[in-house]
Amino acid sequence: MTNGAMRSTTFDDSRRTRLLALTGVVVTVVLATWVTLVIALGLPRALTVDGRDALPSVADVKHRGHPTATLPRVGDYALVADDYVEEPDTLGSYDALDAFVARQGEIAGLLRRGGVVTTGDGTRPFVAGTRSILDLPAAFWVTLLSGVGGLGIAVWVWALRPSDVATRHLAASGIALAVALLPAAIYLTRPLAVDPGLLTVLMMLNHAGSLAFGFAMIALFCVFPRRLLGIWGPRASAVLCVVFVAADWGRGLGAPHGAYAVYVAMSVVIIALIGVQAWLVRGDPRDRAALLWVGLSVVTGIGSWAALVLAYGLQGDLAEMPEAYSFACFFLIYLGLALGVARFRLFDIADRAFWVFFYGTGAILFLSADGLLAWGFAVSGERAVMMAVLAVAFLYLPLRDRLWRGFKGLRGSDQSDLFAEVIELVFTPTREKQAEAWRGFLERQFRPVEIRPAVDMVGAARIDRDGLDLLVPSVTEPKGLVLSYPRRGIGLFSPRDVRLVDRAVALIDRAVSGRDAYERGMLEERRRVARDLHDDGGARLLDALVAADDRTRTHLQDALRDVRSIAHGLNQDDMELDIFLATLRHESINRLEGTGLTLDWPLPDHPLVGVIVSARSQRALASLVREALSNTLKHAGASRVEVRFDVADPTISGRIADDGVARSDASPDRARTGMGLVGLESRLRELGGRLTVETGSGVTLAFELPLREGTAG
Amino acid sequence: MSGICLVVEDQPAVAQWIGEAASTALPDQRIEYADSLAAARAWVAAWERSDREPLETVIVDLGLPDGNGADLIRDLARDLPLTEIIVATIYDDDHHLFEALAAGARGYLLKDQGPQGMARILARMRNGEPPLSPAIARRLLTHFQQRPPEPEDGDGKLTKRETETLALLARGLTTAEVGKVLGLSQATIATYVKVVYRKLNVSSRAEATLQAVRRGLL
Repeated sequence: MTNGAMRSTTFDDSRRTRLLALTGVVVTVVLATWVTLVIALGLPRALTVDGRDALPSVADVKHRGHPTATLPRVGDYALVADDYVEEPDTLGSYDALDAFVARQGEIAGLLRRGGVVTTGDGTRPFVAGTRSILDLPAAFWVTLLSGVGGLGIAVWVWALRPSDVATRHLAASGIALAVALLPAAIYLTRPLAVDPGLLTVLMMLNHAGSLAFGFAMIALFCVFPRRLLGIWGPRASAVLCVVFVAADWGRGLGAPHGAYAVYVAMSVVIIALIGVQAWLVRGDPRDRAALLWVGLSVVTGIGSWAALVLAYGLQGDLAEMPEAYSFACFFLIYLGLALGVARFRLFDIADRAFWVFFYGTGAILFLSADGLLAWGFAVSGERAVMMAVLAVAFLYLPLRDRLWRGFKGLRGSDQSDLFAEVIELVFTPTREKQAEAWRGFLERQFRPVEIRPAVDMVGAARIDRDGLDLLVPSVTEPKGLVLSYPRRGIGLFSPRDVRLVDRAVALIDRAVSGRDAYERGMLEERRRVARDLHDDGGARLLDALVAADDRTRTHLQDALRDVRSIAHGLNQDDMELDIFLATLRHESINRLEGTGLTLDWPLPDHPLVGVIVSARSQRALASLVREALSNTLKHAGASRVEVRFDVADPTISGRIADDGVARSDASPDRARTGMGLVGLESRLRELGGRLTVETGSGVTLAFELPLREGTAG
Repeated sequence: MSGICLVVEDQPAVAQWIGEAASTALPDQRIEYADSLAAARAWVAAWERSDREPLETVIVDLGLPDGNGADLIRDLARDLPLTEIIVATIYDDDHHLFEALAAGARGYLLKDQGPQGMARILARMRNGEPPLSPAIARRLLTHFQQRPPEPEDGDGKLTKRETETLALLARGLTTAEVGKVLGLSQATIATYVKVVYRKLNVSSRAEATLQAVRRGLL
């Protein structure tokens, strides 16, 4: 099964399964903890008569700076510095290791019998004892908890999704981690000595577990998210695991620390596999998100651990490595890793990946602060760890919290921004511009690779295709929008995104209903004004028109047209140029009908979508056309009038030309062009436009005008 | 005389103008006048009791002293489906005219066009070519787009051709120009316009009925 199969596996939500799984996990963890504790508490210890330690412990020497130059004698046995080495496999050779194990047996025997301890200050008697739970050092607990924590999580995930090959590898790695860490917890934090047989078994388990952990990780990234090397990847790693464990146990790795070279090599292979996986899933946001999540935790964890081993190993000082604490980074990383694999739908992936990253960073910070404090200030071991804990608690955690909030702030606009954007969108004049603004808003919020109209009606915002798509309800489109591949394709949509869209849509709805109510009120008011104009002004003008002679009739008709324009609301608002020109053309055609004058006014081939003309420019254009037609009608002789508009947003230009013959009587220009044009010319100039009048064969008015105030090109 | 044309207009001078236009365009119709809604209703009631010389045309002003002419149009359109109802107005925008058109008017006259202009429009309507301003065409398009689909009959929806016609009229083209663009005769386009008017009335009536049913009035 590949990850694809993993996703299609139904995540069993039933309580019973979960309860069973939880019981299994608790039993496993409790059992492992109990066995470890029993063994650790059974280790021999030398006590003075007043119940204190008669001998310095491994932790005293390793972490509290107890000098190794003046070690006491236990009976006839003189303790040597090597007896205090934390991790015996860091002793240079198998001979040294054998000698160590033999001495451990001798010391353990001495401790169990009781006797005297001889130091520079003299000789004191001691009795055999053991530790209580309270005596166990911090390093023991860190190692134990890392082991059982990893084990618990891995088994938990596997129990929930047992048929999944990736969770099986994960469970194997968790068990291996426990096999490595629980024995290590016992012997790394021993009081002084462990019985040789037990010690040998514990060390063999530690190596076998560490190797198995690494190979389980390799197997995991051979199948997650994509399957590499067919079924041979996991098989090969299983075989290699057995080979290397056998080589280690059979002392075929050259030295006890030969296994470390294998660990580092495995780390390199794991990180390389993650790299290959990253390359393979680059086109698939879903897999990429899963890998981002899992890979980030593993790279951070294993990488920092390997770096630590390398740093100490290159210094030739492997024994100095704070082994027990370095395991902590495994566990923290493990937590993130397990969560990532456990997710069936990786909705909140970006957030969780961030979280893992920061806890991984926390682990590194923990270790570096430890090292820095230990080296820089020569503080003794245990205190340095405490300082590091305090530093993490008081410096890193608040910092992380701040960064977290900053991060959240980066991801989405806050309420006031949202409000401002929505208000702007709702009051954008045309539907096209509104649609553009809405898409712009979604684009800024989610950075999707693709935005397309929905095919089916979207009722409410929701996530589709496991987070690849976000369906957005209808705001400006008839059915809504589908957003695909958020954050330029590196993430998935999360429930947080759904909430953001819901909030935006709700806000838009409220703003729209507010706007509509306002517009209804405005319309009502306008209707009232129009009714008054109709009943009073219009009727009076009409009365006058009925009684008027031919000369005044034209004026009255122009006046009525103006009244009509105002009553229409035509000249009251910015409006789409297309609608305005259509109305003006229709009016002109009606007016010239039956006059014998042909109107030649072609429409543009394509509708001018979204071009807005302001109220003032509308009035100027309407007056221009009406005045020009009036003049042509009055000063007859013309059979044809030509109207051309040329729109280059934000400017409209054009000409109105008739084929009338200029009369030869006095002041032809004045007579032909009419007084009205003088007023029009200054009106256009005020608006930033111009008007030129040519008389030759007929009259030609050429004009240019900004469509909106302040936008003159 | 083969029929009657009733002019409902409160201003005597304008009424006379309309009457002039009507007698030019509809020479075979006798002109009658009413100066208010009440007078018009009374006239219709009396006419119904009479020997019923056909009422061919009613020209209604919308802003009458005792109410909205659209109410009269609604009643007349329902009771006298054969009568041609025409709105006389100074305004050919959608706000003013749409209600009257939905109520059942089949066209409109712009009063300031003068007797000759009005006579021309009337004659054309008689020819089966009702006027349709861009604003109204646009409003009709929105009206029919927003209507929920009605599976039981085709009257609630526009055909593709009718929609195209409206779209071109909304851009300011004349019926003749629309015909040229669509490759159809002007008469065909005029028929589309007439059908659209009828569908508007039918759908509005259906909607009103539906709303009345919802409110428990029927």
